Amino acid sequence: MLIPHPLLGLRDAQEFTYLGDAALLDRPSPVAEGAEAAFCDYVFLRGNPAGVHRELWFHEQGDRSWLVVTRNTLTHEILGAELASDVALALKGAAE
Amino acid sequence: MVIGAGAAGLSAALTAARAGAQVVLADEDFRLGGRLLAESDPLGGAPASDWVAAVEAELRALPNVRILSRTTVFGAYDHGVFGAVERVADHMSEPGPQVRQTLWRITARRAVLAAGATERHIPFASNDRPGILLAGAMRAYANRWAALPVAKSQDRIAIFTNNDDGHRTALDLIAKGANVLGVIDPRADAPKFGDYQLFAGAQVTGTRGRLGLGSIEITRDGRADWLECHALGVSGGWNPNVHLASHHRGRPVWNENLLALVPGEGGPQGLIPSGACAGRGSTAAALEDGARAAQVALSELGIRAALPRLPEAEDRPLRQTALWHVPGKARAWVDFQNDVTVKDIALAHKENMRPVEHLKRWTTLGMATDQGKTANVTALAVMAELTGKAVPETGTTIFRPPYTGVSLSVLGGGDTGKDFRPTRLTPTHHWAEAQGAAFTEVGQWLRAQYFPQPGETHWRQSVDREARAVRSAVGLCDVTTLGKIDVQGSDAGEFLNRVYANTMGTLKVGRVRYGLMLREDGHLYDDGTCARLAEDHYVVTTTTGNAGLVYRNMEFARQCLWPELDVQVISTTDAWAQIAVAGPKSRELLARITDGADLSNAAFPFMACAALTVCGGLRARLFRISFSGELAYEIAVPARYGAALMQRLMAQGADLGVTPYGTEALGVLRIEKGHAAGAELNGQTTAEMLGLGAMVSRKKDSIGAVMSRREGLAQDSRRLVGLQPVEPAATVVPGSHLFAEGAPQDVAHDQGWITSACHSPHVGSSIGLGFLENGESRMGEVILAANPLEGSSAALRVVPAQFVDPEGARLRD
Repeated sequence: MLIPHPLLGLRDAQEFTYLGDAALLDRPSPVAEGAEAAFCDYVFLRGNPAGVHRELWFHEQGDRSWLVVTRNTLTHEILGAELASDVALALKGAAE
Repeated sequence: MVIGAGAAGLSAALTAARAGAQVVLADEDFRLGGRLLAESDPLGGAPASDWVAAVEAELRALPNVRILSRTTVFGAYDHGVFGAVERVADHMSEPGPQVRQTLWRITARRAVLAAGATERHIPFASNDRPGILLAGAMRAYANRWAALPVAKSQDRIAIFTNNDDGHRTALDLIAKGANVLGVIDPRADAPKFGDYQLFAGAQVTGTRGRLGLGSIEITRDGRADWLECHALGVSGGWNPNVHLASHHRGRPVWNENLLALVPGEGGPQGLIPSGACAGRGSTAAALEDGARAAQVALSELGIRAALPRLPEAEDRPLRQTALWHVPGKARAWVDFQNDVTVKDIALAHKENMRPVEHLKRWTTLGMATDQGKTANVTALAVMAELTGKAVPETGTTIFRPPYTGVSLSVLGGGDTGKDFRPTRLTPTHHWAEAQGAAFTEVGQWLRAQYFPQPGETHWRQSVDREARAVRSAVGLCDVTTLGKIDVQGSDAGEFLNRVYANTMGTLKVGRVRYGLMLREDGHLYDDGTCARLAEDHYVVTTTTGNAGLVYRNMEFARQCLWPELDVQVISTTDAWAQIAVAGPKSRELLARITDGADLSNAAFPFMACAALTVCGGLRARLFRISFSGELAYEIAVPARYGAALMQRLMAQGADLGVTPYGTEALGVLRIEKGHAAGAELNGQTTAEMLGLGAMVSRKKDSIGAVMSRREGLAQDSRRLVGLQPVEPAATVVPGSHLFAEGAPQDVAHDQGWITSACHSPHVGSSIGLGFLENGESRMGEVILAANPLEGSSAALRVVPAQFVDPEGARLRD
């Protein structure tokens, strides 16, 4: 597979390490009500859809960026790739 | 990329090459030309090989074309990546130093599949006798290699074909002077193209012969005749090589005119089938179709390409009849490689194994190394006949990679034996080698295990001596392999607060703190030291095994969890050589190489750190930390000076009894001190179990903090204890499980396990560390360590995990 790195262009998937569901960006608040249950879901539950999925890839053999790659797990078509830090910042901005 | 260099492939490559595209042309054969080399038809009024040679010469002269001969494209993968194997030296009698084969990963924006077609057989009784071969193969032998499949030139050859193409073989054989018996064609109105006997409306119904074909039975209108015949060419039509087009879930579709499967919708993106593999198999059609396919591919990329002027070529219509097998009682082979016959398919039908998936698995049809290239479609048609359905209703056969067998060794490449993975050598490796050290693998690293001295015949002698030297004088150990991560930025302290369970932000500049790292699920992950070199600059260490993972997780935390923090991290494991200088005389030794630094206890106490210079100006970092429990330091210098530093310390410390020690003594020293290592941090343990629960700060959030407090983990009462045999000569075996004396040795009564054990020269017996239920309140108790694997058990006394200096006076001295 080829991953369209937002800074480096098309890079071979072999340069990356796969992590999985990008829901991991959304770490629960440790002080909120029901934090333990929220963390339990966060740690143990993952989406694994047959279709469009947002997932985390680490450019370990490259520039060490974490990316959020939107991929169709049925066709392997890659619909986009963003820097995870940009996605995380936007997520935090939206929450505030 | 053009796959196949026959008529379609060459015209595609020519079209793309002339348009200036970067072209890769791959073909299995050692010579370009494909089927053109096997036929007698002229191209443009001249032998086809002339045209092939002219095209090849033009392509080879172009800088934008790469020709890969002897190269099989075996699979289409995601996003235009193709796998191909080039047989570089397999054909050479003396290959020399070259590799046998090369694996190519070719990324193509567009690909033209010009894979041609494979002829199929007609199953008839006893059709597996030597001398019976495909008519197209027979023609290729004759035309390309001037060979006939008979022992004597006057031996008779017959052709059995259900289509016009088979007749070409008869004509070519006659032109070569072969003795052709005739053409047997089941069509009553079969055409006759030349001067040979035609058996129209006839079928081959049997064969005889010892060690090869001797005669065939020809049946016409119910009358059977045996005729002498020594070779039989059979043609049941041609199957387009749709394989690569059916990767990526491409579904071939049945074409009733061609009586074959052709590429359908789907399949690899950007792959355009052309020529015979797309069902356009006459030479003229293939030439035209290849050029057209290239033109389409190029126009999709925004490149305008002119069609080349193509030579005049044969354009015979495809005429055939659907004869899928000759009925009869005797065995008629469909799959020659796995010995599947028409009878087997009939039996599968009888047993209701009718869907192709069942047929395949029940009969092993198409499961040999040829993957059913000649058999699958025929079998499908035979089954369709039995069920009374049409072929498309009966099923489709699709193909997964690889197209042909690929050896695992070409996929693995050079990654075998010693080269299976990289070997990382410490900066002092060659020095240690010269000292005669034994080495051990630690992940990718090779580390010195111990340094045998003259007269030592057992590794224990060396290890005991090294451990004693650290406790009584001074020892040196290369600890470069521990992961080192540089953390910088105005939020570095806050960042480390969040990735370590304990607080790092309050650490004073010039000080070091032991750190515990948890997984988000609350279990212990890693430990190490955290040194603050400046307000905005920390250096942290990780265990050797987790160096890469901890770094990855820190990047995850920095980029994915807290991108708002001003912090940067980078691995510096390979940049710094680090040597542990441990033992009561370590300060004295270091004073001899540091450039005037004050190492007194007051100026540089336990857990101090500093950037300084050594050996007259070499920049270094000094940490007063101790894994052994003795007065100890770790000193880091740029990696390229690591060996020189080791040699300087050895020379300067000769009168102090300086002793290099390896990982074995390192392990003994830390077990004696009760320090955790990989066996205690095995992913199933918690900070509480190490007796370090208080380190998980409740004043701040950190990775794993919330989950570490959940009931199941918080209630675990097992604690790290020391274990010493009641009988001094007994051995503590790591991995043993702990039971109360007299209790049944089963899971319900399991009270813990032994993590680490060694012979302790300090204690004078075997000792161990382990996790024991309520261990902290059971000091002095005797328990049983069961080792059912070896059928032994030992009585052990529970003692504090610190066998040496439990108050920690030595390391603060």
